[in-house]
Amino acid sequence: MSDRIPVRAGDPRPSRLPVASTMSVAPARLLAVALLGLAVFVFASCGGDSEPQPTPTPEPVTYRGVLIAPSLEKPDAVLTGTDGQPFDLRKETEGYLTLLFVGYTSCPDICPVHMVEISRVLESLPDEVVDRVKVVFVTADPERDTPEVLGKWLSYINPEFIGLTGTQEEVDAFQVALRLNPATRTDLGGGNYAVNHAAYVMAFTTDNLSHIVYPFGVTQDDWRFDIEQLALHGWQGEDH
Amino acid sequence: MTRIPRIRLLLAAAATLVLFAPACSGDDDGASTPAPTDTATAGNGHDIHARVEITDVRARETLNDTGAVYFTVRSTGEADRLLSASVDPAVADDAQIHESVMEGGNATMREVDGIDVPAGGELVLKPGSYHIMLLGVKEKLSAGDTFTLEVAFEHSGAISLEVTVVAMEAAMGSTMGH
Repeated sequence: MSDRIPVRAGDPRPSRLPVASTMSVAPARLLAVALLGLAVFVFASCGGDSEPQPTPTPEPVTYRGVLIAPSLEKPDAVLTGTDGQPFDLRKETEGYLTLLFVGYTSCPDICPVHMVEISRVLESLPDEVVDRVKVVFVTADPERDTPEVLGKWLSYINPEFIGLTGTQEEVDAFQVALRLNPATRTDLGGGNYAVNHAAYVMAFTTDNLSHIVYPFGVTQDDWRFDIEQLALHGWQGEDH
Repeated sequence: MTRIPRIRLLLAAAATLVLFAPACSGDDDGASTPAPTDTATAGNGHDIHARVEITDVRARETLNDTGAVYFTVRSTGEADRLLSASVDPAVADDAQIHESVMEGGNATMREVDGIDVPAGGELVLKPGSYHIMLLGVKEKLSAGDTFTLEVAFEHSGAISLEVTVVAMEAAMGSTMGH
């Protein structure tokens, strides 16, 4: 981690118009996806403010989280939702500030506290902000965290949060894509084990990049400030 | 099944250490504290024989069968060492001393066989750091519930703590600043 992100030559600026980024990837996708995108676009046009776009700020924002360089790409992965159905992460979170955490439900404190803190912060923010945020918890322990177990655990924290699981291979690959070590276990005896997981929450802005992460112990005030800024204005750090 | 004998052994070992320490240990500067056979008062943890004072005893609410207990141990003079914890099997299958370790982007956990309480200093168990992990919690622990946790120290012996269950974010204590 470093304190700031260098501006990389030749790297296109994060799009301030999510429509443009949708168009840039649409040709590579199947016709059905293109049609769906068109339908969403038309719906958004008709619906007025149903898909509000982030508005740039005049000056770069000084965030409270920890900037990372290089930024992380949102994994292009299809995992399994708590309903047991496939969940295409990029497709389902396109256009939203996506707060992503990799953990496990038998985690003593880091995982549930991160999630509860975010839930409390969202409860305190206006709908205008909350409607632009999706929170995704990916388990690093698919063996124990079945869709049902994960769904039940998240329902205690916030029923709006998205829980994802998969095969061990899928989850390992997902962690590698996020520059995390794939899950390793620590035996705790009696059939119990602890799982290696992400220490921080990653925030993916509408450019599908995470420029910033949130270590354990971030205050609710700091969360509130950054979530509001990132949700309403997209990534507006010094390299914007 | 092996839990209770192990705890008993540890307690016996701790008591033995305390009994023999004054006779054979030069750096133990004549500690005359016999192994306390009684237990300290819950929560404020005072015992005239104990070298430690335990405060801020709390468990986070549970969402499944995993729980965690936190507290602060303050040395009232000489150093001591937290050796083990045990809980009523009606509350949870096991209580283990763990440390969450964060390295780079990864968090992991390890079981530790004891934690030192420095002379005159304090040992803080808190989320993201040292904690007593409860495995196989039987009934959901909700804010306001209480249960008993027994902790054993090398010198102060066994101390019984009354643990109060608090909301998840309240378990963070003062470190969150909100």
